[in-house]
Amino acid sequence: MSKTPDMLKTDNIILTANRLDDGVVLWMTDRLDWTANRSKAAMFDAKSAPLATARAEQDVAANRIVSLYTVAVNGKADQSARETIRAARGPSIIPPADRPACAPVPLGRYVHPVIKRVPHVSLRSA
Amino acid sequence: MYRYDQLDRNFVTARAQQFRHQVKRRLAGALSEDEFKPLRLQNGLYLQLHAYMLRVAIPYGVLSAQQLRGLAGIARDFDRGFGHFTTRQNIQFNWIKLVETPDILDRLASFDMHAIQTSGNCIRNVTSDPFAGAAADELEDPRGWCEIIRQWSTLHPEFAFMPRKFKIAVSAGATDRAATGLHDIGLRMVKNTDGQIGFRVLVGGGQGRTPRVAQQIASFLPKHHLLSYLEAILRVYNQAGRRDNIYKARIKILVEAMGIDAFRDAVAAEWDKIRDSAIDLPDAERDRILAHFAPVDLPPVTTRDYIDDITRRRQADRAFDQWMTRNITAHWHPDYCAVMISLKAIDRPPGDASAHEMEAIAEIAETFGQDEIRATYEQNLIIPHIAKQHLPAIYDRLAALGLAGAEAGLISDMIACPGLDYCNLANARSLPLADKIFRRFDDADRRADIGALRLNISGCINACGHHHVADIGILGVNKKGVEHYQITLGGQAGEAAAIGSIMGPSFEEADVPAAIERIVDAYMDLRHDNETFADSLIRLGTAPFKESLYA
Repeated sequence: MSKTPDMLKTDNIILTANRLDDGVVLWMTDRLDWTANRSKAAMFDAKSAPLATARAEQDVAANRIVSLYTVAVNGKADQSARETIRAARGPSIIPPADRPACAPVPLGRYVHPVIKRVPHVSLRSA
Repeated sequence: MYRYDQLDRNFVTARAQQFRHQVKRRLAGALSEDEFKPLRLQNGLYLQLHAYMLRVAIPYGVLSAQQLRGLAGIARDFDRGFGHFTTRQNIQFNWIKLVETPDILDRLASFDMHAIQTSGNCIRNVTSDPFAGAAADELEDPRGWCEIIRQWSTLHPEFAFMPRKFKIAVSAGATDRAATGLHDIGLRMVKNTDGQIGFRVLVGGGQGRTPRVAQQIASFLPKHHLLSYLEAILRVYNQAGRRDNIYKARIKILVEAMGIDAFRDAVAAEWDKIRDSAIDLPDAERDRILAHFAPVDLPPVTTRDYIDDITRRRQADRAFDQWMTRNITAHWHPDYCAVMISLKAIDRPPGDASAHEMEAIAEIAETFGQDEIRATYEQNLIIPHIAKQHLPAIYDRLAALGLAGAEAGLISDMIACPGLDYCNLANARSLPLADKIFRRFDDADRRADIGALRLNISGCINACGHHHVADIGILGVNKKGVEHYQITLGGQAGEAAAIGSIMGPSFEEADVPAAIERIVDAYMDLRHDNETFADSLIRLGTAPFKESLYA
């Protein structure tokens, strides 16, 4: 697990990672599980951080999450553009919006193949 | 264009199946992330700021209309309805699920595409002139040689784990439209004094934190020796390139450390061992591949009445006239042209296109353009073979889509990396800044009056937005936790490739558009008639522009 430089300046941290199966950004809650809602992220102090970190690393080892790192909430990292954009769960600009296809796909040119899906692994039920 | 045979189809299908098994093992815990990461990177799958990102290879930027429709389908069915065209002529999807990636690779294989060689320390997707096969000024269609390099490099057992990634570009026009001077190897097709066509070979170019312009290693390489000579260069690099420091692992560092003459000697010594081996293709196989790129059979144009029609429309319609001036490029066939579709506009992140837009462009290519589309280094799309009589109809269709901007080559035709809005490596955002600059120059007549001016934005020193080689380059930096932007002047990506010079202290984002405007205003005041920004800078030096920038 990587640590931001601000870890050195504060004992208060939040823990964040990506869900393995779909890459969704997650934060650890006070119940030591994961949420995709930044506002529900828990702040861990010097006393609670070791347990939370250990639990998070267990989830890495159990292949539930990847790219785990800590963010110092009292330091500049939590106010950084990076963490703000990540918490917003999307870019700060508006991507092009799709509309229905402008014309029917010409017959015989291209047909979507049947999609075989890998069973979805739910983190909650894991 | 190249058409897959059964061998190609079997290969990409098998590769997708292989990745399906690897994903299954990863999800089951049989592979750790450390074990899995190189495998997913070999299939173009990154983990970015918000989600997984899949980079799909568009070999040398060439797409059929059917393939563009297929990419639109992936954007709609597996992503959020849009894709991002990159400077290396690829496309990226930003909201990919690991569990669905095998299905996406299957889908790609169904229309002869894949995501191989778009990541990792391998020979990456070869890039080329997006006007190849259409340009009026090219010696020979370079795409056949790109395809030969692709087939040689894909799964090359010796070059699967090199010190770092390796990028090759091929150009055959009088104008270098593939930035060959900024690649690990740049190949420019040239004619020697005997009238033979071969390659001028450049080596050791690249951007990132140590930008270097490539140096000439061979002034003329006969075409039939291409693969053995490339193999010799790669062997020297693979053996002597540094693996102890990721920042010093690219071939540009090795070439600089050895000196170009010593590097050339080392390559020559290696080449002596293999130049007459089987690495170079037999003539029949080479000709078989090149035959895929025979000049396109264009329908004859029976009447030139369209010339008067277009002239009248240009006189009556200012926007159409500007589009004709900026976005239409000469074709080797006098009744045809290439049409640039600008993916740059206010409220459009540079290089982004929705699924709907991709389908509409595919339909235009099917109806008017021989089923072909090209992705460009500048993050636009081109339909390379258009009969001029169809230009008004094509313009009207593009205008209805909001894609008829006359931006090609102007200050608005910005190259921008995804920046901090998507990228895990970025220090600062590129996309909102590009939009703010576009808005600062929102008058089309003013943009046209400024004329050709390249402005590129990178969100970090990795320079994916090619800020080093722009007339005006902007580099995002993190200054005590706040996004700041450095400005460089004087870079170029063409035949006279050059790295821009940093002007001085960085600016906060809000101050950048005005800073750019001060530079442009200085240029407008100081330029001679028809003098480009680059020429003004050469004539005057950076001092007057720097003075305006920090005024």
